Amino acid sequence: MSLFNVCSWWSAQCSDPGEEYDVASLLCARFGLETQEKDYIIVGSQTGQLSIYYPHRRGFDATDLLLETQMVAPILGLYAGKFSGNVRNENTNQLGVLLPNAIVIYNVVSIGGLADHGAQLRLQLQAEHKFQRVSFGLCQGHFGQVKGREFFCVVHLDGTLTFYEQDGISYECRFPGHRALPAPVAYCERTDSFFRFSATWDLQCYSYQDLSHSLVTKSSYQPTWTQCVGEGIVDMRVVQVKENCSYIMILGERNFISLDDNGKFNFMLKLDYAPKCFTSFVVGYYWEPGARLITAIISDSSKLHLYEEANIIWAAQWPNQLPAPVAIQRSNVQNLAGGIVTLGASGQLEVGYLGADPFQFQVQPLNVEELSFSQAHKELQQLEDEIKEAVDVRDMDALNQQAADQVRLSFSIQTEASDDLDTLLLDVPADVAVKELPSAKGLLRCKIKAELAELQLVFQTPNGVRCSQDTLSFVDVPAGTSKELKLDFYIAELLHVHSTKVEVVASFLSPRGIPRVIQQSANLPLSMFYRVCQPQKAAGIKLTYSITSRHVSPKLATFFGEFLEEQSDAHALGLQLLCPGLEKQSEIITVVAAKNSNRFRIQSDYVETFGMILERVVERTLKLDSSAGLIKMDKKKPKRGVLNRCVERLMAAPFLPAQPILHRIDVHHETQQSIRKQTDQLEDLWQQFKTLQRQLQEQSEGEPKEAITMEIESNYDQLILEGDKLVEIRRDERKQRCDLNCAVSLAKWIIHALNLEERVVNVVNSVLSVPIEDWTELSWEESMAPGIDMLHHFGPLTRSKSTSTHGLLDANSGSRDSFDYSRFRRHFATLFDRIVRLASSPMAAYPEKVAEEPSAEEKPSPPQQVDEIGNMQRMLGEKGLPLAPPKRKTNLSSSLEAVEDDEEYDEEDLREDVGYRKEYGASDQENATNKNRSEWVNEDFELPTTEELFSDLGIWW
Amino acid sequence: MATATLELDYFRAVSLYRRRSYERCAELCNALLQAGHDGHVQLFATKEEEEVEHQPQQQQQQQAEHSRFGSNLQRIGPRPRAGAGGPGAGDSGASMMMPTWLMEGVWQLKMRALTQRVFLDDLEVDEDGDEANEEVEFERIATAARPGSSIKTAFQPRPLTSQRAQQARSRGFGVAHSSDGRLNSSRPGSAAVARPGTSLSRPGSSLGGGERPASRCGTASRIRATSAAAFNVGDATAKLYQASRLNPTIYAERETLVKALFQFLYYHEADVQKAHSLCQAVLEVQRQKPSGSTASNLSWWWQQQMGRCFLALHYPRKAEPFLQQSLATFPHPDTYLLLSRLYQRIKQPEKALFLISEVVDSRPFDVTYRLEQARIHQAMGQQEDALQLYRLVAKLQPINVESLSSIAVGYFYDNNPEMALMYYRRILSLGAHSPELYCNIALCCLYGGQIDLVLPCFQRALALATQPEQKADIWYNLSFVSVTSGDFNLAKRCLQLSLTSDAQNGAALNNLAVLAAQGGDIMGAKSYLNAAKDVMPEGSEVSFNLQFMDAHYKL
Repeated sequence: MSLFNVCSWWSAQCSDPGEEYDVASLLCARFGLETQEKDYIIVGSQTGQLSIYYPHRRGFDATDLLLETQMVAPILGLYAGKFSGNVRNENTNQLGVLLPNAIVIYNVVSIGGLADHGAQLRLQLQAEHKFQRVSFGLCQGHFGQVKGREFFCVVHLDGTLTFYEQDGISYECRFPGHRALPAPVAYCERTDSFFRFSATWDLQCYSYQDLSHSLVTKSSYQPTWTQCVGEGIVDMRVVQVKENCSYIMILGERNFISLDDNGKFNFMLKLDYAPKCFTSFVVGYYWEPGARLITAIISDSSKLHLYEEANIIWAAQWPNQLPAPVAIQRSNVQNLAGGIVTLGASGQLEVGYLGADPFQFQVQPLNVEELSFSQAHKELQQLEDEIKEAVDVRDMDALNQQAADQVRLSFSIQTEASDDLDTLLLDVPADVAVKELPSAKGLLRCKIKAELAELQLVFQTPNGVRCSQDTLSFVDVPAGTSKELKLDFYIAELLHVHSTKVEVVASFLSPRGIPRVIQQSANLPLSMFYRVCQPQKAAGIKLTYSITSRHVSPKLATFFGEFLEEQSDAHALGLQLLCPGLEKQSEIITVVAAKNSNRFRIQSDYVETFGMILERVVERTLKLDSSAGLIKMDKKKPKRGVLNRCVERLMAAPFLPAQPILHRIDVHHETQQSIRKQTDQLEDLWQQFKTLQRQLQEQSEGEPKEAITMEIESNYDQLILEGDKLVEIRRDERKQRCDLNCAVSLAKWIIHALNLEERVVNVVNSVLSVPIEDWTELSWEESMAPGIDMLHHFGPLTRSKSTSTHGLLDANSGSRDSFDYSRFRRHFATLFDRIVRLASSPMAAYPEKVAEEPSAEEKPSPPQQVDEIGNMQRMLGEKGLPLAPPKRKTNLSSSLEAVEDDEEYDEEDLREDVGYRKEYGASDQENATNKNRSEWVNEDFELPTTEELFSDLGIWW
Repeated sequence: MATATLELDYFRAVSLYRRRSYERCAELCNALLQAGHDGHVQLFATKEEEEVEHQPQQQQQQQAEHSRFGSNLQRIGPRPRAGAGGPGAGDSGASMMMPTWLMEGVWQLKMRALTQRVFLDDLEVDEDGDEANEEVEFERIATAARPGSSIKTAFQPRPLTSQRAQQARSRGFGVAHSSDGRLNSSRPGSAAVARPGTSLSRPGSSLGGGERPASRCGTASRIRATSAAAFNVGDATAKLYQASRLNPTIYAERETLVKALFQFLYYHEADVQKAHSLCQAVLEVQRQKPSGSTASNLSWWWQQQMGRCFLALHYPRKAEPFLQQSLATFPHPDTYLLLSRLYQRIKQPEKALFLISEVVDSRPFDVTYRLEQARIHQAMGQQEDALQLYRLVAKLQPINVESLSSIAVGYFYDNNPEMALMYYRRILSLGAHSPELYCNIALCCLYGGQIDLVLPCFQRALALATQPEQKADIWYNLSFVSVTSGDFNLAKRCLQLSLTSDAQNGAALNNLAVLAAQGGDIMGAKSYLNAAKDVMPEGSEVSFNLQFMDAHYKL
């Protein structure tokens, strides 16, 4: 045995090509129309098409089709038998067509064909039995061993059997309670019994007598025997193999099972394929010895397996036929005895035979395209280019430009504040809504020029201000889309706002997955936060800005258009902060423009008022100036030694209100501390609570629980109380953070316009970034400490002359674990101090001159300034700037002592508040003068050592 | 007439089920269930009297139906319009609405269809328990590192060490599972489940076991885990089957449903725990039933399922009595196989052999048992006996792919690639068409000297491979081709490609290390080896190589 083909002898496509055929749609039978009759093949589809074929010879012939008709209802099954009592011919069979609600019995009548037309069949209605329940199948046979004709019973979908015996007589058997999926019922003539597959996957045998009698008695049906098959079945057939024995052949879902009619298992064969349909037949006659029981099973992959009993004897494959046939019959058609008739689910009817034609598995030809190396190389190159383009960040400007081309944002905010905010709709908290604060309207236009996979728009507003749109995300944006968003900006929390700047960030992914981000910002009108009031004569903090740009007229109206008329000549403007709107104090800031000079004085008692005003003054100046187009604020990396370019337009008097700022930091720090304390306390309480709970659970039934319950309750109350406190503190913290924001931004804006080297300004400003952030693990102070520390030790702001980085870095790393607030505060104070001193030193403005005649400059300034200039000069020195060779030695010598030095200075720092000028100068004088000379009096133009370079780099970036 | 249409639809669904169009069957069932949903309330109102009178059980079923379809229906209330249609339809019973039995039938049919769609015979699945599984995984990789897996033996053209050959021989390679090629071809739904490839396509390396491998590739639990989830997606009424919420005791009494439900839980939902508790509940009910015939009281079927669950849950000892009892009642083939598996699991293969030989005596020509016998022998390392049995199977059923491939593997590791090639080509001509098979043929060609066929076969294998593991495997094997031809650079590239498909391929890492060492890159080799060590800590080649490096190279 090997794997062979099922050879096709005759095939036809039935009239309905849909998937409308099932096991019962195929019938091979004879009707007794002629003497030498062979099998007719009858096919009925579930759409009601009935066809009868009568194959004559190999290959389909048009005359093979004897009848084609359309039924009114779907054909659920086809059966042939002696269904009629009045038979003329012993061999005559009737055709039973099972419709959903009726069984129709036809006589088949043959009409002789003339000449080439061939014969035809016609159906003659013999009887029709209607029923209410929809049928599932039919079981026929000589019930009760009746001779000469066959009875039949209809199996309904709900498992009921309707018996039709003599004409017109019918009765129903309902098996109560046993609802199963409908399964075929088989009749065994030898024992005159029915085999039914029950819902419990048992095979039950009922004798015909029981069934027909119980009709009368209405008793429940008792099966003669029951055998558990243990799986669902596909089909079932009864075959008489011996005189005294019939086999029930069952094709289960996984096993092929055979029982004899007494319910004894004959065999159970585990199938290693998925069976689809089967037929069993006896070769020879059962009453003769040598009859063989043959079973043909078709697998789901169109393989035909032939078994003799349980042993496989043949396997064959249908070539090119997938899916597998749904029905198989063995039939003796004309000129082919024992043909295999199969019907596919969509009506492919085929008569085949088992030839010795070996099955050849045809491997599809492999379609491997010839690889063209140049082509592949090109493609690879292209891909690589694309990738490179996507990830190359060397030219950020070009990238940003490109991104801005892809998504064009125009974001603007109206300069007038409006009052018609819908506080309900925007869900403004009640305490804010009550104040009826003004809001602002903005407009975002977004034009997308290239196709995008994702686009996200995020609005970033300062704390306390909210935007009516939070985050917008779009997916699969086609090119050419434009969006217009109307936005409302409003105050949602009563906090000090440090900035009026609103940023919109558009981040998007191109379809290739390349991410880009573009940013735009606009400013909220000041009238959202301030209202005009009487200017104050005097105030605690006074700042002075002088407008040095020729393009900006030093008039208040230039800067505060919201509050003053264009032509207004007012020289003093008082503004009161609206936002927290505290009752006790009115936070007023006064801006006074000097009548004769180009100076501004900005004064207030409160640090919080400054942020937005300074922002306005500085930014407006720069904007006006650059729009006048003289000096470009190009983004080139600042060179060493270049002065803050801002100063050319606007210069601030070198004064930093250090004390109030530090005070804000103190407050913030304290709050942080108390939050930590509170959290610890909560943690303790929580532990306690858990322990108590556990105790309660562990307590045995008998013990009284009152005490522990009380304890738990009080503990719980406390827990809640402390939790509320924590919430309260957190709210405070938020306020203080905003205050601190204001304070820091105040410092930032002053420094921005100080007369310093540009890089110093940049570095300090980047250290003092706002808004400040508190992390759960790290407070703002802690996260700032290293930066401040760095500034303290390196760069022009340092006080130590030691340039040795190693020792200092080590020292820093050592102290990193324990955060020393007092030290941080001290450094912070010194930092401000130094900045002010540096800015106020006249030489800073003219570094070149200083470099040329250092000794001349030395005289007017006190020694410590020389020191600073020296330091600065050191920093300013370009790579190529000359440095004196002896310096190296000092470096080396001082490196070891660096830590000690540091400590020493810290000690000194403590005394600074009292009178630092003197001591500072005194202690450093010797060292400073010597060293400074060597450092910046550099006649021999030598290159700096690597160590020096390193220290430079380490300081700055 | 509405009912008639519904019933006709039900018939169509059943017909589809019979024709194995499970997807379409489930779709139709969904539509029917939806219709039933919509008409459910009315159904309850008009049919109630009749139902109560005729079948008290119906009420209960109805209840169950309700609980299944969500509480909202219950809230709608039992009789919104009692007198609407008039219940006097008499025995016509089928009034305008969908009868409960139909609803239940549809429900059950859908459940069966879903189960059948993903059904995978767990006996065909190499489920040797977790530890065994691990071992298998490792074994696979170890054997995979055949040629040149250790620095010392690097680049020996053929696997010679007996241990490796043994391991290798012990397994077949993965082609289609049944003699039928069913898993490859037809069942669309099963494709995802029965990953064809036991990554192990090289002859021998496959641990997955011979033919069974197709399905045996993964552990049963793994397969089950994927199956249900994968198929639930997009199933509109999937939520009707909330297996986790199912209360076993409620269903245990409902004989008509419970077996189907069990299979649904076990095969579709892959919820063995739940299936097991359902089993328990049913057995409890059966025990309590005051029935006269005590013997048949406990159904063999449920005992078998109990054993199956216990085995799947890794309680072989607990499973044994159930299976024994079941076997005493009824000699189902599955029970034999389960017991045999059980004995192997508890390391008593002799007992398994004894059991199987008992049944073989009574059914000497049943291939199922012969194969099991052969597998046991293989597991015991008795290659000769196993091969003998495989030959017998091939004689009994010449289209049995498992036996053919096992014989081929035997030849391959017996330095007889030409013979192995013959068997593989026979399998190919049977219609099995899998990347593993092509890979094996290619290797046979390579070692048999038919060089011209090697690359085309690999090309086919690559074209057919869909799973990353398969691809990794094929590239891994391709690296041997390049090693054989002396092109170490190509070998490296192949191995790297293998790693891109499956970064967890320890064998590839190991061999890459060997190649790196060969090329003088000791540090690279070391790091590859360490990576390999991470991936397969028990790999003997890897640890050997590491030791070797420690001993011979100063790093």
